Amino acid sequence: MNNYTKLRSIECGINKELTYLDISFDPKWEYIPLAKSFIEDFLTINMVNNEEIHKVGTAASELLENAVRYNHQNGIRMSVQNEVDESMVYLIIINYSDEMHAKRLLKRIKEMNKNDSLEYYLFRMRESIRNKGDSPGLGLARVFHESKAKITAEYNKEQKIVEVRASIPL
Amino acid sequence: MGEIKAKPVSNSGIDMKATGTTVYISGSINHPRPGEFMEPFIQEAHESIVTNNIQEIKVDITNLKFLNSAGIRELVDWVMKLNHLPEEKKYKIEFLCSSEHKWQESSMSTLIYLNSNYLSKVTK
Repeated sequence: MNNYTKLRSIECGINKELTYLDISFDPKWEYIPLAKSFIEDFLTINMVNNEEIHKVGTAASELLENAVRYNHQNGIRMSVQNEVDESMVYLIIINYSDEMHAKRLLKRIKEMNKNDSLEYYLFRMRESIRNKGDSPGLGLARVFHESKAKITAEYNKEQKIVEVRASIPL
Repeated sequence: MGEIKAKPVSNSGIDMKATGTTVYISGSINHPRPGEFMEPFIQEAHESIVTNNIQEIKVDITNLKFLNSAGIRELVDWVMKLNHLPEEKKYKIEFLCSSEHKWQESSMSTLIYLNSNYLSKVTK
């Protein structure tokens, strides 16, 4: 089974009774703006207002940047679900990752969820300057604060697959 | 009154230039390492502002459609350079934003918290 087929076969909690979009692509940086634009068009069709579309589009772009930056093998899958009754959009990003990066990601999400979103975002901004050689580390904090997202993540050690879920209130 | 001197940048769909005491950043920044071209421009502009004792500048981002978090870091870096100056050398930055690009409201509002005495924003 190749990497794409494996990714496609994962049960990632898509409720097919909801309006959804499910896409897979190569971990190429150039595809991120395309995916963002595609997602924004999907939400426009589903009558999400412009301000909310921006929130979701920015979150999708930042989460995909992380997925592409730390991808261990080929293949990224992203699902977007629009829950009209609950006024929520769910983003689910699945990609391959080595254990070290996955553990770091899970630790950072845990740390982030203990904090106030604005305080944490400002903390990460200052930290990003102190650790200039590293990745910015700002993306998750931005999604947490600017998109008001609740973020969780799981890592499947055997399959080397990390799944990040962001629930964004509209 | 002095003016900002910095070599204009045009790279990967982004343009940065200085005219008078206004810096213009336009395009869409979703590059993985925007610091490669943003940092030298910002450093040159910052040094020029300090050397010429310019007290107040504007940063016009009304035509900046998107800025990723790596790009935000470059603006944070600029603010930190400003914060580290002695009080008499510090200058004010007014960000000119557009209501058309929704990311600007949330992102720039947060950035301003890093030095609310010297940073402000106006939305057109």
